[in-house]
Amino acid sequence: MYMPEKNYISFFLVMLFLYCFIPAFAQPDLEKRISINVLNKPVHEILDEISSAGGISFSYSPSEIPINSRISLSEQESTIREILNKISAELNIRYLVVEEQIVLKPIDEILTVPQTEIKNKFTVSGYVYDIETGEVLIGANIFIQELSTGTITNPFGFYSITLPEGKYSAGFSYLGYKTITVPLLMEANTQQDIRLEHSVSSMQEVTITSNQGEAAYNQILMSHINLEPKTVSVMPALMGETDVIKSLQSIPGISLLGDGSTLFYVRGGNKDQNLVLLDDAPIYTPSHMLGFFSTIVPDAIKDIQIYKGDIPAEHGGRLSSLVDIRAKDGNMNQWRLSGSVGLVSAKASIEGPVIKGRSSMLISARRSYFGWFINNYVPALDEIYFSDLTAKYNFIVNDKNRLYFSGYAGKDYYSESPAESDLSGMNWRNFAGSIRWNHQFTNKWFSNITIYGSRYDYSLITDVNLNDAWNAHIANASIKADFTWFRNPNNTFKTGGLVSYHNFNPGNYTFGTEVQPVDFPVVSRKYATEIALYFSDSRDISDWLSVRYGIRLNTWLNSGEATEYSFNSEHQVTDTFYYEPGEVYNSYFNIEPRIGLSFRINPSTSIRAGYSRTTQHVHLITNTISPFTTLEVWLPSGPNIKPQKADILAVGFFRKLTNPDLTFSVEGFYKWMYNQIDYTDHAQMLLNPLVEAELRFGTAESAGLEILLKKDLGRLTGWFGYAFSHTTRNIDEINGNRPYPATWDRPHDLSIFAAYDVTSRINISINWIYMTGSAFSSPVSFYYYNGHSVALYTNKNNDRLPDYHRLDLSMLFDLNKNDDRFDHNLVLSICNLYNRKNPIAVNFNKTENDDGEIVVPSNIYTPPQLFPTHTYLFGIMPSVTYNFKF
Amino acid sequence: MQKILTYLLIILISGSCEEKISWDLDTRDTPLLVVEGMITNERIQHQVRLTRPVTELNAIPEPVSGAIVVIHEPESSMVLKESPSGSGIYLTDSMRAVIGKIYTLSIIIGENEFTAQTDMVPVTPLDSLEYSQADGSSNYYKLDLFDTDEPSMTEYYLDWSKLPGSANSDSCKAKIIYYSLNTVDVGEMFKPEQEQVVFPEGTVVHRRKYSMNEAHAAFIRTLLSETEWRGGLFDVQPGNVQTNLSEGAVGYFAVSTVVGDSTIILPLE
Repeated sequence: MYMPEKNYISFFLVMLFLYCFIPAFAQPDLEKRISINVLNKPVHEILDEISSAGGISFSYSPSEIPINSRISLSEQESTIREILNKISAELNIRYLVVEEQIVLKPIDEILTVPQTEIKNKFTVSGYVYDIETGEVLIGANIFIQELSTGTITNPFGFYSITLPEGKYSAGFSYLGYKTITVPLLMEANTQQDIRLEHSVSSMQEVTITSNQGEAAYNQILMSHINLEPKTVSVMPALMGETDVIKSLQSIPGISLLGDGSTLFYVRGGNKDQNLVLLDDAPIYTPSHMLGFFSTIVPDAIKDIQIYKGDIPAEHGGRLSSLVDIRAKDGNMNQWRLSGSVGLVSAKASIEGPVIKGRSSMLISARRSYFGWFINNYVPALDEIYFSDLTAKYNFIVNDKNRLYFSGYAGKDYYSESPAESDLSGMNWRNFAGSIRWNHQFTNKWFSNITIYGSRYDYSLITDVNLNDAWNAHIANASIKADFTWFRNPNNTFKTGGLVSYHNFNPGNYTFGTEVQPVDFPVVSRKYATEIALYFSDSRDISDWLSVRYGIRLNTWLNSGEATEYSFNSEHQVTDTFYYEPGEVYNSYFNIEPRIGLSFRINPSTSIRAGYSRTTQHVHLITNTISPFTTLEVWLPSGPNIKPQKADILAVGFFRKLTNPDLTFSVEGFYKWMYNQIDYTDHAQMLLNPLVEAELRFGTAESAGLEILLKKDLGRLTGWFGYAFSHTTRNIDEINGNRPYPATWDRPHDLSIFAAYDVTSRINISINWIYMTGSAFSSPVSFYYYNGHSVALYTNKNNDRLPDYHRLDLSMLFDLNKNDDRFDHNLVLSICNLYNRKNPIAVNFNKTENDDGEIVVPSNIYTPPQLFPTHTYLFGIMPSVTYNFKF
Repeated sequence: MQKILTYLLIILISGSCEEKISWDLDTRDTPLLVVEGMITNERIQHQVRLTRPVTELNAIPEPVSGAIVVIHEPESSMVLKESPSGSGIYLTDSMRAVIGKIYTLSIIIGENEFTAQTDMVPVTPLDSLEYSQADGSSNYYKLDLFDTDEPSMTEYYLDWSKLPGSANSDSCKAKIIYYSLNTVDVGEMFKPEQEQVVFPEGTVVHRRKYSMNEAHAAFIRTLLSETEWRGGLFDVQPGNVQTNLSEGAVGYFAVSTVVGDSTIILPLE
């Protein structure tokens, strides 16, 4: 019935994987240790011995190198580099690593050959650091003035640039830091670590920094933005809880479902189509308190990269966006303690060197305390809180190896003990952890091996004491390898792969006692293995044309123990299948091409285009329209759920001005989405073993135009963003098979963010958001049944909530008069300054009781008088937060 | 749980609110047939009510008069009479439904025939009536309603109009329907706050508990999704309520076993 296991696909993937990685190990390894004992032997014989012992090859001209000279060597377990250094010194020659060979040259030739005749190239590589904290800087700009070329540091702060031999000036820059120019004498491969110093006070670093610097600007990237954590820190926030996820709604093309929600939608994609990574480990549901706050606080975050499309080939698994978050590594030079106290929670972080200059750690924690206040009003409430803990340790093993250990745990917990029933409650828990190993094979080949895992676990606890609960989870354990070959400034090649094991509990009831008082249905757990391989190549074809192309291959294997059902066209069960543990019973293989082009009109203006295909195998199954995080479940692709796919085509115009410092971009996109999921009316989602029969599948299309104007530097910084888009879905058996607007379809999306340094100690920022109201289904008529007024619907999502708009204001007062080590400030935030009532729902089933409260009627002896109502979550919301650091 | 989360939201987001608004619906005259029909195991005249949808909240529905309404049993058929004429209410002769038979409702209006088919399952006895003191009032009580082991619908008729000092009017009468479905729905767990009906000592409570077969319970679940559960914290997508009627008619034709009792509310010990 189902597709058999396709072993040939796995074989093909393995062979491709090996093929991709063979070049990585073909580079000469000068650190290899060998022993050699020769007495008065000709040089060419000694070189032969080194070749055979070290597995390397030499290239030289016999007329230039005195290969017949006789020398003596006695080396025991020395590195090839050490041996070559001795030979070079004795013969007065130099050795160079060129491609896969060691080239021997006379010293004089190297230094006197005219630039135009030079064919040898050398590589300078290293890390770019913050001089104060020792944190590596992600996306720092390296620009070679003489060649008008450059590169940027990777997510681990590493750079590598290969240049023809000669003398150059390399500029190293990073927004908010002093630019330094370093002379480069390219006569051998060298390692050069750079430390940059802050150029301005922290308050002036408020910016988003996409495309900063020449090299960064010339990256073939579109639909991408880098959001600085410091920007998030000064953005106005609900109840002072600065929030990475909610700050995304200020970016054109990204919209939130509504107030009180961390669910977001990118370019017409559904809420489960966004991959949020924290140090490479996915965070499945980054929300606290049903979504009022997110799990990601900026205090422990170093970098946030957002891809609204054009997701790099090294990432996959979601259709619409990637939010790649990197936690701080921890201060390498000194111990620092920071924290904040707000209305809802307190936060504290401690970071510092474990071994100065070699290893550091960070621990950041947050705990809410509003439950103490609520207990006074709701005695039945037993406990309510949320918490976060982020920890990280990194260790520089040597110049070529680094290790990172990251962990995150977040929890929400409520419990109550009303007089008439047992202690019950709910909890949501997120865990994520990763171990990463950075290794430089050569100064051109950089690798990162990551072992990671994450889990989202949530329960509705019906009896806390007996441990009776409905519980669901999604989890993964994964290993991935990424290799980057910085071939030359015009060409970077990446390849790698991933193996990930997923397991799903789509919601089951468990009893703490052995005797089960109620026989609840059992929903089969699901298991799957994902194997992915990719490569991407980015190269400058000419001065005006650059191209990035890549491909991601992924295989999805469903395996037992599992029970699967087959359904007929009426969605009735026709057969049941049981699979033994480990038995592979279904597979999907997908090819995801990714292509990007950049046409440079001049150094500051370019036109870019991109196409990408993305595939998604994990699906959030929920028919709720609530903005809150609820008890939804996750299901994998399988026999009854095909993988979601999307084709995204985007074209953009990008211009960077230097005076004033502005960047401007216009992007148009069209997105086709396949195997999209919707639900039959009133689908039974919980504790339903046949939940797949409630799903309906179809397509979706989204088209839009996004404009972004940013100012990155100066006392006034910020951006103006506008997006016009339209998203429709066409799902079998929904809306009479006719297309309908998606719930999250918001044609107009406008955002303005501005931060202004009034003085060196006062910063004011405002944030204004406007969005068309989201689509919903409103009744076209009503009928009566058994005293109930029942709505009748014709077209799905035929109506819209009122337009959403809100102005937020934030004022930061630096309380330090002098540049003391103890730094503290006060932030006053006012969310929804003009008290806009933004409804999250409109209903037609409420009445008023004798106390004037709006309720659902119970007494139907006489027909209740119903009226339309709307629900909104908050009006004007002031808050104050005290932050400190020392 | 729902109450706690509501409190939580109110306290956390002190300004949160539900307000009465005016809303211009894009209404349409939908000439659908609405059927409310039920026969039970009681030997009485049962009724089938036929109406049309309304385009405004609280509007009085137009009855569908002149229809030919027939209930078919395997061995016989019974034509219902509209009574009073023009009311859209069609009555059977005195009859009782029995377990094991399939009942088919047929409605002919002009050239259209609408049908529905169902059967009856037994009902379990009523549990004892439970009530407690109403919140904030020592002289008034409220019903404590609990789920039953099998799907059921229980009607509560409360009457305190005959008590001394009470106005002999509809304001001293109440009808509450409590559904027990045995399903797990987020919409039900976190449904919006419901009106609390309070009544004094001496109130007479008449209860009628109806059995529901699987299809009837499924229909009621969708009905509640659109009525009592709509507007809760975790609302589900709006959608049309299920029906067992053919040809695009809405509503439901049910056959139920029923048990009942009466209780006078006495002071709690």
